Order: sequence, then C-alpha cells, then structure tokens
Amino acid sequence: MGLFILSAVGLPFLAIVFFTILEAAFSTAGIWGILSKAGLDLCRVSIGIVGAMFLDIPIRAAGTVAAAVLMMEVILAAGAMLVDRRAIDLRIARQSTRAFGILALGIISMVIPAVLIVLNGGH
Amino acid sequence: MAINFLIALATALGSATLILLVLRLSLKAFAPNAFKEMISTSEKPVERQATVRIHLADRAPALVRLPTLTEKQPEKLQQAIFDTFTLSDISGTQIAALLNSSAQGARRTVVIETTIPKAAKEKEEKKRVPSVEEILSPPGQSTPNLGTTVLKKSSLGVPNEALCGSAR
Repeated sequence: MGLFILSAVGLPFLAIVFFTILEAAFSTAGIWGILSKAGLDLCRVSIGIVGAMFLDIPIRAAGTVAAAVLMMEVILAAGAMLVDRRAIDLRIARQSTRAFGILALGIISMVIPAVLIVLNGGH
Repeated sequence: MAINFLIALATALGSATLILLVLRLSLKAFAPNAFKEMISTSEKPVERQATVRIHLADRAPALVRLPTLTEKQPEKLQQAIFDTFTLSDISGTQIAALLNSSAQGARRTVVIETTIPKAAKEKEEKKRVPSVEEILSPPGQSTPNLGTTVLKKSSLGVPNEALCGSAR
C-alpha cells in the first residue's frame, strides 16, 4: 500500500514542490503569487489523484464513490479559482489571505482522496 | 463509506490548518513585511462596452459603438470620443465622466441627448472630406492643371513620386 500511496499522492505532491521552488527561483512573481499558483496546482493534481480510486478494487461501487469525490474535487478547484479571480468581490483585501485561502483549498482537495485510498486499503 | 469520508474530511481540515500555520509562522519570521501587501484594484477583471447615441439636428440618429475598454485605458476612451465627434454643447471630458460613472463590470448603454447645428455639421464634414479637386489643386496653387497631369500619368502606370507626393 505504501508504494501505491507514494505513486498516487507522494510523487505528484513532490512534483508540485519541485516546480514551485523552480518558479520561486526564476519568475518575478511575489511570494503570494507563487503560493496561489501552488494552491491551484494542488487542486488540479488532486483531480488526477482521484483516478487512483477507480483502480482500487476493495472500494465497493468504486465508480460511483470515485465519481462523487471527483466532482467534489472539481468544485474545490472552482472555489480556488473563484478566490483567485474574485478576491476583491469576496472582500479579501490582503494578498496573504487570498494565497492562504487558495492553498487551504488545494491541501484539502489533495488530502481527501489520499485518506480515502488509505482507509479503503489501497493496493 | 460515510464514516470514511468524514474521517478524510477531518484529516484534510486538520492537515490544512497545520500546514498553513507552519507556513504562516515561517513566513512571519522570514518576510514579515510581505503580510502587508494588499490586492491592487487593477487586478479586478473589468470589461466595459459603452454605446453613445447622438441625435443630430435633422433627427438622424447616429449610433456609435465604442471599442471594449478596460479600466487601464481611460486615455483610449477619451481619445475615441474626441476622434469620433466634435460637440459644441458637451465636452469630451463630460462624456468620459458620464461613461466612467457607470457601474464596474456592467455593460451599459449611455444615451447622450445633444444637438449639433446642421450648418456646423456640414461645415465640419466639408473640412473632413475634401474633394478630389481640392486635393490635387489646393487653394493658392499657381498651376491648377497639375492634378490632371498626375492623374494621366498614374493612369498610364508610370510612377511619379514627386508629383504624387505633392498631390497627397
């Protein structure tokens, strides 16, 4: 199960960390812009992680459950984009608040499918 | 399955809180001034499209649709108005103020009722579109048939840059 979690969750997360560090090194964006992009990337990658749930045989009706989780991931990603684009309309004045909000949505969307895979004894 | 999902949700919330707390503390230590940065209002996606309808003296409505402008282009907005009309009763600045007073992000039609004297309008049109004779033989020119010569030469397909240049 460890290898399964590592390949499904660990490697995408490490890739995001790698590319975020690269962006921090080479782009002219500020720290909050980089963190916001990292949060959006977490949301996008988590949609791919849900794909691992479809392969998990122990989950009964895996298709239905995984599809529901996938829809939730998509909604979380849309929420992150909403915070990113409409921060002023949502009365978010500080860049730090916006970046932390996007990052929180990204982490939540990343952890939920990972924990579900672990709890269902992913192979 | 529902219990598993609740556990996953709680884990996600807890881990997000923990990670963000650690990140916040570390950023507070290394870059305390970064937390003071505010979101600039220019980042807000705004799209405007304004329509100006002007009723002329002879009651012939002229409908002009201005190009889509963003907040960053107030100069372009005023330039478009000044280039399109020369009004006597209402200045371009007043029109720009009217257009700018509309709500942000809304597509709005602004109707400006004003009157342009027909004589002044015709005079303006005459100024703007000179005839071929005026172009080729401007007032004060000593050789009025120069334009005819130019036309004949150009019809033969022989380029004469000096004469064509004076005709322009």
